[in-house]
Amino acid sequence: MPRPDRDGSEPLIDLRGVSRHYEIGGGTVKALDEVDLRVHPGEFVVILGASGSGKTTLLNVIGALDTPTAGSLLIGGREITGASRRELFALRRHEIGFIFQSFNLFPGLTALENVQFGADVAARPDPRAAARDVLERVGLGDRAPHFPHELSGGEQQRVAIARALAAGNPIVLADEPTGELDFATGVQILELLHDVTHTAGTAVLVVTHNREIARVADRIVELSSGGIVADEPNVPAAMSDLRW
Amino acid sequence: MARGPRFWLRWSWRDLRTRWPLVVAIGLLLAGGIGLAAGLASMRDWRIGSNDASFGALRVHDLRVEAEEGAYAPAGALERAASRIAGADGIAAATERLISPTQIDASAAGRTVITPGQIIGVETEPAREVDGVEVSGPSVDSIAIRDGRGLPARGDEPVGVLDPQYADENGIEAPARIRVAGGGTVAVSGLGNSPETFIVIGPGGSFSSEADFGTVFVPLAAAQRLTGRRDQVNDLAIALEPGADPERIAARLERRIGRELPGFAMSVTTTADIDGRRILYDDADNDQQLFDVFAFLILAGAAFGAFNLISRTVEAQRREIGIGMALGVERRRLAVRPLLLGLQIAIVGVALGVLVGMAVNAWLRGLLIDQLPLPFVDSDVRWGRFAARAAIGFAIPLLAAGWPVWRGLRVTPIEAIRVGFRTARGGGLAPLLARLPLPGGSLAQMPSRNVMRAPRRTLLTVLASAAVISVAVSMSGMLDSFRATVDRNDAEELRMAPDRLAVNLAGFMPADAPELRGLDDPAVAERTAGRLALPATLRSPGGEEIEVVVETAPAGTPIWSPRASAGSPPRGPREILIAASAATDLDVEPGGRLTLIHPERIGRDRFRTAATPVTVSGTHADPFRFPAFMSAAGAATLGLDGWINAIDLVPPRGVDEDAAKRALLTRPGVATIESASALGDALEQGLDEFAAVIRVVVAIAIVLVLLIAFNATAISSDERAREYATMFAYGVPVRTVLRMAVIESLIIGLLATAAGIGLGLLILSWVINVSLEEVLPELGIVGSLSFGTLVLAAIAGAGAMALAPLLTVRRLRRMDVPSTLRVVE
Ligand SMILES: Nc1ncnc2c1ncn2[C@@H]1O[C@H](COP(=O)(O)OP(=O)(O)O)[C@@H](O)[C@H]1O
Ligand SMILES: [Mg+2]
Repeated sequence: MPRPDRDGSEPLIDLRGVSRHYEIGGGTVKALDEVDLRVHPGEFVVILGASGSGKTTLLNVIGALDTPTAGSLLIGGREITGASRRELFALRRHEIGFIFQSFNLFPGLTALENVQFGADVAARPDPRAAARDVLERVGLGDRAPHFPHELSGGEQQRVAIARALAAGNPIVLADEPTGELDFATGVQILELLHDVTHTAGTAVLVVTHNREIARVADRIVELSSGGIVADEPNVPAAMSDLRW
Repeated sequence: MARGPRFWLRWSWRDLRTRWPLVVAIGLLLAGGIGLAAGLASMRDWRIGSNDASFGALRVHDLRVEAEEGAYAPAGALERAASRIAGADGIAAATERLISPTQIDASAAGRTVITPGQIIGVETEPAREVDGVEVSGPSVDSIAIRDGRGLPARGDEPVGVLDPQYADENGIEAPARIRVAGGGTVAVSGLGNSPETFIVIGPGGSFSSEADFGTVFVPLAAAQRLTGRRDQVNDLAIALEPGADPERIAARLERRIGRELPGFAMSVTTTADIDGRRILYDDADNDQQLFDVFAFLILAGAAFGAFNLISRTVEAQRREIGIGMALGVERRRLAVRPLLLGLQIAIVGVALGVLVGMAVNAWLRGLLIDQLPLPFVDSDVRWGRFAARAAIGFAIPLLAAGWPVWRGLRVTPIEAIRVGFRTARGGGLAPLLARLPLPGGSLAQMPSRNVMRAPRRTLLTVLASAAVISVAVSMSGMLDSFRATVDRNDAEELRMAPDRLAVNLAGFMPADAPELRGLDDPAVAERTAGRLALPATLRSPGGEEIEVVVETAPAGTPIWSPRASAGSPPRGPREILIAASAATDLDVEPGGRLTLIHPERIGRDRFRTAATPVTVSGTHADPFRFPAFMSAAGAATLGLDGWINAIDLVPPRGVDEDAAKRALLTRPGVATIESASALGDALEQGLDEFAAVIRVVVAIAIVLVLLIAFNATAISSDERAREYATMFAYGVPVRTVLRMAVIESLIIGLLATAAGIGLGLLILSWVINVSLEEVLPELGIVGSLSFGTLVLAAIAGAGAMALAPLLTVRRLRRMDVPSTLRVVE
């Protein structure tokens, strides 16, 4: 059952006591342990934590790439723990967009085609126009015919963001999207994500281990040893305020 | 880092474990190539060795005095003439023979065997033994006895030895009784053959199959009685002393006989003129060439496969190599790991290859002993050759490893370590395709782009499969071509009166000879037409010579007559219609002039060899080279106006072929009877055996292409793992990903099929125009590639390729998407 939040709106993502344990060589690795988390449409959440704290595991569980060993997960009010493989694939197509640390663009497709891939998979009407539009929004309209290897790291990641946004899905998940970029570019990428998602009312979860970069967020969730140790709203800092 | 060799060995052992299906697949591919190459390596030696042993043990003639059709000499005269030439001491042995065409009726309870054949009457000597084989009959061109007993040393009883191939094909076992033309009976005491009958060749170089042309050796006196040629012979076989000059002795002999026996038209031939011998030797060479081409192509396929895998492995290890370089490890050491992979592939390949090679060897030995019509077979494995080829197979994967390793080690450490190096790698030729986007979304673009992305690997895969497909295409194309040739022959032969029989008479007779009376009785034949058919030679102005059988048209209405496919049918006494392949070999066109060398009758049983200029009226559509046709007026040119030696005959309605043949056999003057379809049937039969071999080769080719395809897809799905994981993260279903992989593979498969067909056609045309033209010039093979062969190529190429990605479905389904995405190569 979906439960309305304090302010009456329904959460888009709702984790209740979610755990992800690995049994390895007799011991148990608690990658996630009893996590409760709710995210609403239009929220820009940064998940902060040291390496090995469970950030990626959390994102994978939300993205239906990984299954919790305990607890329940609702996306858009629908219980997805125990959903079939086919349902999970459909969920990913229609609810989620992914951004990866190493971009993972398709090297055989142009920038525009990579973006169009997002729209194609989500079965959006007129995917090409949608792709053009999003590519324009990330400021790469003029690079449409270029192949990934012809773009810089920052540009590639902008294309990857455009690909995630082109799907038009309510949730965007980004795992260390700035990890392979220099600080300045990384901040630009986060600001871009922040801006484009705010206007679209998308819920965005960004994982980072960089506390400075986290300052651009609306809300910072801090993980440690698989558990949430802090969950605070944040006043986004301007880029010029960040130190590197 | 650079600890001893055990460290590297252990590391590469781990590499091997993660890639063992690929290593084994390439090892198998290599094993196929090595096995075929090594297994086939001894073929030529075996065949040449067997030829030498067989021709040597039976003391094949160095010279032969061969009478023209219808010419006979008194017994003893030829031998006497030979002993009187200057330099007669160069002659080690000479023996007279009487060779006559006949009809053999070997029918017995439960089988009907009525075929043409020949009686060879020989002087007999006491039997000797060579390598446990009884050698009987004459001292020159002796007979090797396979089963039963040979000819008695003395005596003139009609006891005979029958060609074992003929006997086997027709289910005859010694002892047996056979009847021959004229009603005589021969008691077959054993089976055996002599150097001239290892390969069955009909008169005038025409083709016959083992089943359709029987040779029976009998004592000379018995042959003379059976054929009504008392005290006559028509052949002399001579063995020379070592060092004697055959050319000079031949010339002297020819002059001497011409002087002593005027009217005895003959020619003196040498060992080199024995068609069967030439075919046996040439065939051994040409087959080896063909086998070598096939083995090489399959080895090449394996080499490409090995190269693909090792390149890919080196690429995957690039970062590790870069780190190693950055840490100061010498390049030499860094090269060890990928090279060890090459070595492992080489070892697996050679180990399996030697097994395959020995199996192929054993199979071929068995085949050789069964199929080679030779009494003495030399099949000792030539281990030197075997090892040489295995060594080539061993070197290939090492070389294939060398290049990519060298390339990999040439990059700077920075380049190699660079993050995202692989993803940032250039798009190959994909940008070319970006200019012409396909209809459909981004997913529709991917397969063709991916094909273009790694152009070198695509090319290698295409070449590897094309090489293997070409083997299947060319082999199957050979079958098609033989079929097309037989069909064309049938289309000609069966055109006017498909049930007609060609009756060859025991000699030349006036068309109104008493023996022939009654043949036109409606109970014997519905229609008959007498004609001439005699072996002759055509010589071009350039001196080129080919053997033909010249037929003249009957005086009355023909039952069958040839069609001119170029030019016109022969008219008048001096026009001749020849085969298109004959025209090519003699380099003439319709209207061109040739010399016909033919027997000319100058009296009873007296002939001389005459040379008559003739004009080529045109070419006929029969694929065989030997048939040549003249009009009825041509008989006068041959000095045989009003004479015939063959009759075309249509049996009465309702009388079946065997009954008609049997009725004719008892008639006087009839030597042999052949149905119009005999030649086609004989060839057809040979094809069926060939077809079985080809089916095996094609099946192997399909398996090999599957292996190559599996390799290629395994490598690319390995490489694309992250792309696939990305798609899965975006919710693209497994079947969609699989469909893209299939389409991609299919594109490569289609390219490979096209290239394979192209290459196959090249090989086929080489086989037909060069190789077969040399071995079987008498057969104008019609190059042909059937629709079925093309379908087969498509199945082997596109089919196997399209199938291969389906083998990765399990891997795709089980992919651990989160970890695959996390891996930063
Ligand atoms: N497949 C796995 N098997 C075992 N342990 C794992 C696996 N994946 C992650 N872990 C463990 O779970 C913990 C959290 O991992 P992860 O979510 O990747 O952390 P983060 O992204 O914050 O660096 C780590 O201790 C890691 O070792
Ligand atoms: Mg992580």
